[in-house]
Amino acid sequence: MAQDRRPALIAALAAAVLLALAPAIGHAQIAMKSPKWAELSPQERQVLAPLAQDWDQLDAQRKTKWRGIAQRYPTMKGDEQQRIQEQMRPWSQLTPDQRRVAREQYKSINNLPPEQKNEVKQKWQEYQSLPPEQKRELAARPGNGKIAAPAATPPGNKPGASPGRSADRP
Amino acid sequence: MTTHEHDFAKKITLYLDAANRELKSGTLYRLQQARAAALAHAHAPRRVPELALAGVGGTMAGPRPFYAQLRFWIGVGLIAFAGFGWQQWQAYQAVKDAEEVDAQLLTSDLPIDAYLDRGFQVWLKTAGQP
Repeated sequence: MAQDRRPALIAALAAAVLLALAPAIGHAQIAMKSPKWAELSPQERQVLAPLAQDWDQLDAQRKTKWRGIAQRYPTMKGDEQQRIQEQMRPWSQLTPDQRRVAREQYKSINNLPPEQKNEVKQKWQEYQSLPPEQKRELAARPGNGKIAAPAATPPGNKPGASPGRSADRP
Repeated sequence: MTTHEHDFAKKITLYLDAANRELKSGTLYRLQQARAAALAHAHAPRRVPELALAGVGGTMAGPRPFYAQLRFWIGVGLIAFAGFGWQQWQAYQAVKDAEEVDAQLLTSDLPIDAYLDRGFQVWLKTAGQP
C-alpha cells in the first residue's frame, strides 16, 4: 500500500515544486515588461519627468505603477497635477518601508469622516508653527505610530500653547 | 422444465439435427471457421478504458502506474499553470492597488511629510485635549 502511494507522493512533490517556482517565473515575466526611459511615450515622459533620472533603476512593478499614474494624470485637476509633480520625486526616493507606512497613514486619514479630515489638515498647519524642539519632543514620545482622529480642540487652545501638558495623557 | 416443454425441446433438436445434416460441406466449413474465430477473440485480453485517479496510486482497471499516464501530467500541468496565473493576478492586483493609493496620496491636500512625521501623529492625538 505504501509502495503504491510512493509515485503519488513524488508526483505531488513535483507539482508543489512547480507551484513554488511559479512566483519566481512570474517575477521574471514582469521584469521583461520594464521599459527604459527612452521607450516611454512622449506623454509618459512629460508626466513622469521628475523621475527621469531614476527611472532606469526602478523595478518593473514600480514602473508599471508610475505608468498607470501617468495614464490617470490627464483626468486630474490642475492643482492635483501640480501636487503630484512636486511630490513624485520625493516619494520615489523614500524607502519601501517609509512608503508602506505613509500609505497606511493615508488610508487611516482617508477613512475619517470629512469634518475630521479637514481638521487633520488644519492640525498640520498648526503643527508647522511649532518650534523644532517641541516637534522633536513630540516625535520622541512613545506611541503606536498610527494616525488617529484628531483630539477635540477646546476654544482658545492654540498650537504651542501647552500641548506638552495635555500630551502626558495616553 | 415440465414434461411438455422437455418434449417440445426434443422435437426442435431433432429438426435442427436433421437440418444440419442437409447443410452443404462448404457452409459447414465456414460455420466452423466463424466459431473458431469467435472463441479466439473471446480468449484474447480485452482492452478496457482506464480511469486515472491522481493521488490514489493506481488505475481502476490495471496495474499501470498513474504517473506514467499523460492525463496525470496534464493535470499537474494545469495545476501549475493555475498557480502561475494566480500569482500573476496577485502581482497585477498589488501594482494596481499601489497605483490607486499612491495617486490619491500624492494628490491629497497633505504633503508626504504629514504621513511620515511621528511628531505630527502624536500631536494629532494629544493637541487640544483638556
